[in-house]
Amino acid sequence: MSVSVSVTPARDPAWRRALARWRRAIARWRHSALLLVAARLVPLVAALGLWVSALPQIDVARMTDMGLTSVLPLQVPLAVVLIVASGAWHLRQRKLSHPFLALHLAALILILYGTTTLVEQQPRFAATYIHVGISEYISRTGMVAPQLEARFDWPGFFILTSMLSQVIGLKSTMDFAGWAPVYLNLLYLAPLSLIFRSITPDPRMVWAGLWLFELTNWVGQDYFSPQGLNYFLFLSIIGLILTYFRTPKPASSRVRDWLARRRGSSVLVGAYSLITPEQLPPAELPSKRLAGLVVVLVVVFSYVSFSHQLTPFFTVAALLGLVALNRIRLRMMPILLGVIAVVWVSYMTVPFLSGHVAQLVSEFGQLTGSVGANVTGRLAGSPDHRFVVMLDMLFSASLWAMAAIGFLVRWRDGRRDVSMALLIASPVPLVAAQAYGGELVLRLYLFTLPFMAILAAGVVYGRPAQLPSRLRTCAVIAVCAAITMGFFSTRYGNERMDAMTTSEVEGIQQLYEIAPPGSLLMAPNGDLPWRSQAFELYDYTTPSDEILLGTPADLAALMKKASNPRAYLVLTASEEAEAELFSGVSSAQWDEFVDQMRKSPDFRLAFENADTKIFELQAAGAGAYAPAATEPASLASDRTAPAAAGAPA
Amino acid sequence: MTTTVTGLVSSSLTQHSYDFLSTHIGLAVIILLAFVMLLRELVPIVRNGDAPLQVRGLDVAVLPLLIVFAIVVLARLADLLV
Amino acid sequence: MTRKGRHEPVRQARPVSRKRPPPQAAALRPIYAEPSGEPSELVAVRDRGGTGAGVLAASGGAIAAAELSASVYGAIPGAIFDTALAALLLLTFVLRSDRAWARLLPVMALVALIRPISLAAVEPRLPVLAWYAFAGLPLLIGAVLAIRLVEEPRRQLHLAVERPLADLAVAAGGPIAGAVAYLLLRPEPLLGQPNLAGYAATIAILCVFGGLLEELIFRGLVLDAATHALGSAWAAVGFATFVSTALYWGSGSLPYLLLMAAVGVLLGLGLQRRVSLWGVGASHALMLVTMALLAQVSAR
Repeated sequence: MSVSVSVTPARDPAWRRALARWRRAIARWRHSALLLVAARLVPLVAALGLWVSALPQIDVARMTDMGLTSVLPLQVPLAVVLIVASGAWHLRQRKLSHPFLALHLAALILILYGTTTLVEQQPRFAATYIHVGISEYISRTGMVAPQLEARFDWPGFFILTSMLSQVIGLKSTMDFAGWAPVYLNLLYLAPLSLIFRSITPDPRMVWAGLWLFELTNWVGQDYFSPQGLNYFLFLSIIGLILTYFRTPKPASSRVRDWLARRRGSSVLVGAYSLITPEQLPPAELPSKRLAGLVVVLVVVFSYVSFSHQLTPFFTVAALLGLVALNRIRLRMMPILLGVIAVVWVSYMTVPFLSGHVAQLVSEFGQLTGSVGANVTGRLAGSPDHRFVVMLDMLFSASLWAMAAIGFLVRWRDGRRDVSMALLIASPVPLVAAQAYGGELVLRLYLFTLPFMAILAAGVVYGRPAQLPSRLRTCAVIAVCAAITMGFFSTRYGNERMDAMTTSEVEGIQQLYEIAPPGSLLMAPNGDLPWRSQAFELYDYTTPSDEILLGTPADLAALMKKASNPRAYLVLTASEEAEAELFSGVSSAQWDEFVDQMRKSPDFRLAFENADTKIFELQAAGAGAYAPAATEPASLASDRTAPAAAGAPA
Repeated sequence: MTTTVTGLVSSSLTQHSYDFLSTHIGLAVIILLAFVMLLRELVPIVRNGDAPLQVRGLDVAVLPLLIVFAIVVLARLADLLV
Repeated sequence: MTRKGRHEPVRQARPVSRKRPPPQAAALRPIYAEPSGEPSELVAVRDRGGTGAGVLAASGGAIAAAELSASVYGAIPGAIFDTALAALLLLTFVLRSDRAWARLLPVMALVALIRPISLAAVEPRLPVLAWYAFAGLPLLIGAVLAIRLVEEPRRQLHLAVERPLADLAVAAGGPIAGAVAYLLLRPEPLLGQPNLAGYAATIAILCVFGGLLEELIFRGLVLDAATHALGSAWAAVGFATFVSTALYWGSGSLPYLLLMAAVGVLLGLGLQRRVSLWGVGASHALMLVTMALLAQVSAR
């Protein structure tokens, strides 16, 4: 080193000085770049710190009918707002850093969807336990059993998770059930970005759309369920078709010529041009690969058809909408996929259909009844719960309004997002076809959410050439702050009943130890963590919350009618919450019923812990009891439509 | 009397229930329908949209099979309702 | 005519067909001459993988074999065989669409689909008369769509009425054939409780889904395809009669089968003598209506 120092200046001092200057400049740049990155990450780190520090303060046991928001420390929404603000500020930069934005989005998903997993003792939702139980049954027996449960008629998801747990070597699918909302929402990002990039090459709008989607996905179907996985497949099918098979010029000259010959041709041709604007050219692939992709899409859809009862029809409706205005090349695809979906339903779900076809047919076309069941029917239960439901509606309506504004803003600039509008409109007729247990509007929201999110993002980020101003960015942050509060209230508004405690899970374990196979297991409603094992060994039944308003003697008579060798009533804290939220059964009424049960000569308290009580029907009073059954119990009585039993309220 | 309704067809229709017929020949016809529709979708892609003859030829089978499919599904549904 | 020309719509194809054959093609004997004596495009067809006689014969033979096997193993295995055959024919059509004979394949696939459709589209609890409509409707639509594959439907399918008196004479033969057919087959009456509406429905259904449909398929589409493939009008009539008669195999009556073969030959030859498809179809329809009415009257 010393040699070079002594020799080089002597030969060329100017060169050395220049080199030294360059070195110093690079060092400064490096130093400042690192600093810059560190500075940019400060809000993210701070947000995560706020969130982590808030977690121990969340006591889910103290939740009211307002749900998680009633116990949520302010740090959590603050953390979300901080992340959103950091991201929104970054979207103002001329050069975007995609890893930086991706990191923020991942953190956002973790906070929005992982908080409950971390603060609650057990996986949420009673339906999660049923799904685990179905997977467990398939793993154990290698078979499906449609006679036990309607969900076996669409077994794709359960077979997949059962195989997955065996391949990984897990004891139960419960091990990955708890984190389902987080990893599913991460999974959704890839197909969502495909969909968004089909209408805009501007990464700002794509990122904003992704953020908005995650902030408004309050419906909560992303738990360990067939619909959670199938939603990903729905997005993938739509994303791939929009990416590779969209028609750059949907207007047909033949149709235009035909219209031109009609009366009022100028209006007709004008209207036709308006609804068939050009779109971005599709991504290019060799024709053989495109053909292979079509085959893959059909195979994936076939899996969707045998995994979930609703997703195939939303997929077909979406594609029909796109084909109607020639937005995609695959004109036969909706018919082909429709045939696959209908064939599965009409051939493979006969046990379910035979019990429900009359109801399904009678509901078909009953728009008023369907809307009533989906909107006004939901406005029931305790006052706090009704407030949460109102908030749900307001939240959804606001997003629809934002999407409409975004659509108009881009329309004014000559960007006609007809495909997105079609994808929003096309599933609406399904509401007239089915009430789906009063849940179809929720599903409608879910299946139109991606397209609404990207249009809503267009309000601010719809002009690619223009960077959003400071004022607009501040407005985005303010709106996102409001959305965040709304998100926690709407998504986790029923958390009091959706959360399962360790005491409840342990209580159910005790139930399986106490009750011999063939017993009748009864609960007022289905909101308890049972059926995750021994699916076929018991008769499970959930008559209604009205039994809580009757006497134990009435209940004993009802249980004796079932003629099982033993009968048990299970009461848990989650059931109490559901009875209160949805049926208006007060806490005092619940306690009174429990007291009556304790005193009743027809029942014996077989087990009790903090959140669970198990009452056994006394054999002495059970004159109608049959001898102990040796065959697995028939669960025909508990065959409920997945619509009613499978989805969270 | 005709090629469509021969004595053998009549006796098969009266011997078997519609459930049996639709789960055997009905399903075979629907599988063929799916196959032909897939072909109809693939042909224009492989030939870069220049395949009017192929599409017309396949339509000869697609539309009749679609009608049969509709009849099969409606009949099965009616069977369940009855 | 270029290869691409074969895939283009009729409008583009027509002037090409009027082109004089190239010198080397003129050496080949014209297989199917136009009325004007101008050699048809089939001269050039041999250069593009033959006329498809083998494919036609194989598919016709397979359909006949399926009908024969149905009488031994039951209608359902035979119909499933037909379904597989239709799939194979359509796949071959797609893969070999550059060959001139490719246009035969959808027509033969439609013929192969007759049995599967007649078994799958009919709900047994419906009245027997409705069976004809349910089985016939999809096939009629398929046949109408198949007409689009024919370059000059009016000429090739004999849709133009050139000799009305001959048409009437052929149609008048229908009731006579129907009376003979009734005596040979003794079919069951189609109406449980006959009334005017029932008779009207019988006549309408048998005319449309019986006479017209079968003649459109066998004497129209199959005969045209066979004429192009086999090159000889006689052979084509023989082939169309063979295929249609094979599908009557399930009637279980050999005399009726022979009668239908004879009727097929006569109607096919009638078409060669410029009788129109309408005359031939009316003859077949009247034959069926006569049979049905005689069955109804005798049942009373």
